[in-house]
Amino acid sequence: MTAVIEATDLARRFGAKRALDGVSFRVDSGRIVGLIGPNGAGKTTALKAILGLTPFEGTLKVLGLDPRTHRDELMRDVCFMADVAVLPRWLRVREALDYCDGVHPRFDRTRALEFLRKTDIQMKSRVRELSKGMVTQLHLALILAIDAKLLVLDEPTLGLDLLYRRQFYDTLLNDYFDKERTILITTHQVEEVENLFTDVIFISQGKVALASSVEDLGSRYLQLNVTADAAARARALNPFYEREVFGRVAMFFEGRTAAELTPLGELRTPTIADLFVAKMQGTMKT
Amino acid sequence: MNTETAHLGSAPLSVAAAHETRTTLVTLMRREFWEHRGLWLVPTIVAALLALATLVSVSFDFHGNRMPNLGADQKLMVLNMSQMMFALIIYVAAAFVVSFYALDCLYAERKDRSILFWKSLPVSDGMTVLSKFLVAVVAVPLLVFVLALLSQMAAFLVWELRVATGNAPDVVRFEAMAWLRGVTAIFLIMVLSSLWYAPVIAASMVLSAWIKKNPLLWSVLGPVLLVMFEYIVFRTGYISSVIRYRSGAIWKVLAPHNAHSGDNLRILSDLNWADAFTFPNLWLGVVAAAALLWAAARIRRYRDDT
Repeated sequence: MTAVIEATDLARRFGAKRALDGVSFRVDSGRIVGLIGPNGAGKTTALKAILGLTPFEGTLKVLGLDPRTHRDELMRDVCFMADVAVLPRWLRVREALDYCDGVHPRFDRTRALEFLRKTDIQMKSRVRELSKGMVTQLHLALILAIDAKLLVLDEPTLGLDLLYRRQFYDTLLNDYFDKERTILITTHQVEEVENLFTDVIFISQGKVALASSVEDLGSRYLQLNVTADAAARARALNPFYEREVFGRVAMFFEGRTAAELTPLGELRTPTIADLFVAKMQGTMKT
Repeated sequence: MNTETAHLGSAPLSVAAAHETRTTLVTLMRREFWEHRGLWLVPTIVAALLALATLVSVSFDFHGNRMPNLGADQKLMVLNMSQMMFALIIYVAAAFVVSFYALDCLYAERKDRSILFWKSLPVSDGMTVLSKFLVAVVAVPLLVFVLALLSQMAAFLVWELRVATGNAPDVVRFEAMAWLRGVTAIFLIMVLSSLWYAPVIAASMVLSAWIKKNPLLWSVLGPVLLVMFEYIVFRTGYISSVIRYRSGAIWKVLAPHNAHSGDNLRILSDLNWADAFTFPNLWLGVVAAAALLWAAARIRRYRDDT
């Protein structure tokens, strides 16, 4: 599998604060990667580094190119969408299509029109006249029409209602994604999109806390729900995080086998959201 | 053999690339007119008003003693004068809009965060900055030039109609050569103006890319503070003399040394075109503009306040 992104020791400092503190990870082609982390963890800085929007230290190759020196070349194959508010309010829908058509060699106007026909968006409307959901649809239409190798989405559905969020990800998965493309997404609404991811990268305090494919997560991490009396025995197996839920204790283990844990209580594969909380709280404790 | 094929293969590629670059540049410039509608609206409205004004302009009492009685040469002078006036008025209106535009063009995209959208497409910062600069020094002046021609023509025709129906004095005469001389002079003056003020536009664009808030205010306050600082610390006034110099020195070079009064038929030949176009400070200014544009593109590259 070819690497779409290869980051080694990325570092970026704002004054005394280290937004990125030696971040290394790799993203292969044909994957949908969730970049997950609390506010201020360095997600956006990492994305901006990948997109060549911010200077940084370390080595970074995106589609084999350094975004610091080859940004213009890179943007032919990379598409990105920061949160919804970035389409200029004065822009008309027709102008948005004309513009992309004029500057992007791989923009397919018919494809964008095809998608827009399914919405209530009028060609002569200005962005300021559209609802937030419709602006996202417009932006999505532009992205779908660009034949890119890497799509970067930074909180793409922030502030949208459930219907639009669902439609957004469904369209992305059904009409856009294929094995040739790679999608990198940051989001707060992990629960909603976790079925989408093939890989996750947790970032916390400027460092990678976890990077794994979703298949591997199930064998590496286990969640054990135990009653209070069995808790002491389970605790002896060194859970990295535990949490009390309705009188029972949910414990999170790394590198334990199912055989070890099954006798102690109810065993399950943690959801990405639960694992994220466990990892974050777990690292903060130590 | 191999090198030959490689050479042949690369030729159509570079042609395609040049075509792509041109399409991008044209698209970028169109984009500016979508966002800043004043760039074409204001000069167009002014030109239309000027032409309309001829329709309703004061019908002064030309049947009385003050009826002008002009000779053929003087009537041609009126033709050239009206050409100049139309162009000047439209140009001044457009220059106002362009000044605001130059200060806003790289700031607005940061303010509304749309810079993240523009940067999501394969357009370099250099290309973006260049397109905005070309809008200010080429596209808008060209529009002004065309509008000046059209509105003056319309005004002339309206006037002649009024003369024919006895509603206006016969003070102007059309002659193709004289008209062409006027048009040429207007065109050359505009080219000269664009070259001379290019560094001012480019400096405004640097402010626009760089200033965190309110570049318009800083475009006034900045120079004033610099001049004051220089005077207080060094007791000199170089900055203010540079500003004053750049505001109009080229027109002194262009102006005729010994004007033929009342003989404006020589509107073209009396001006010192050669001196003006070979004026070293004109071209130094162009070089400075190029350096400033480079700086503006550099600033935009990593400017991040989103």
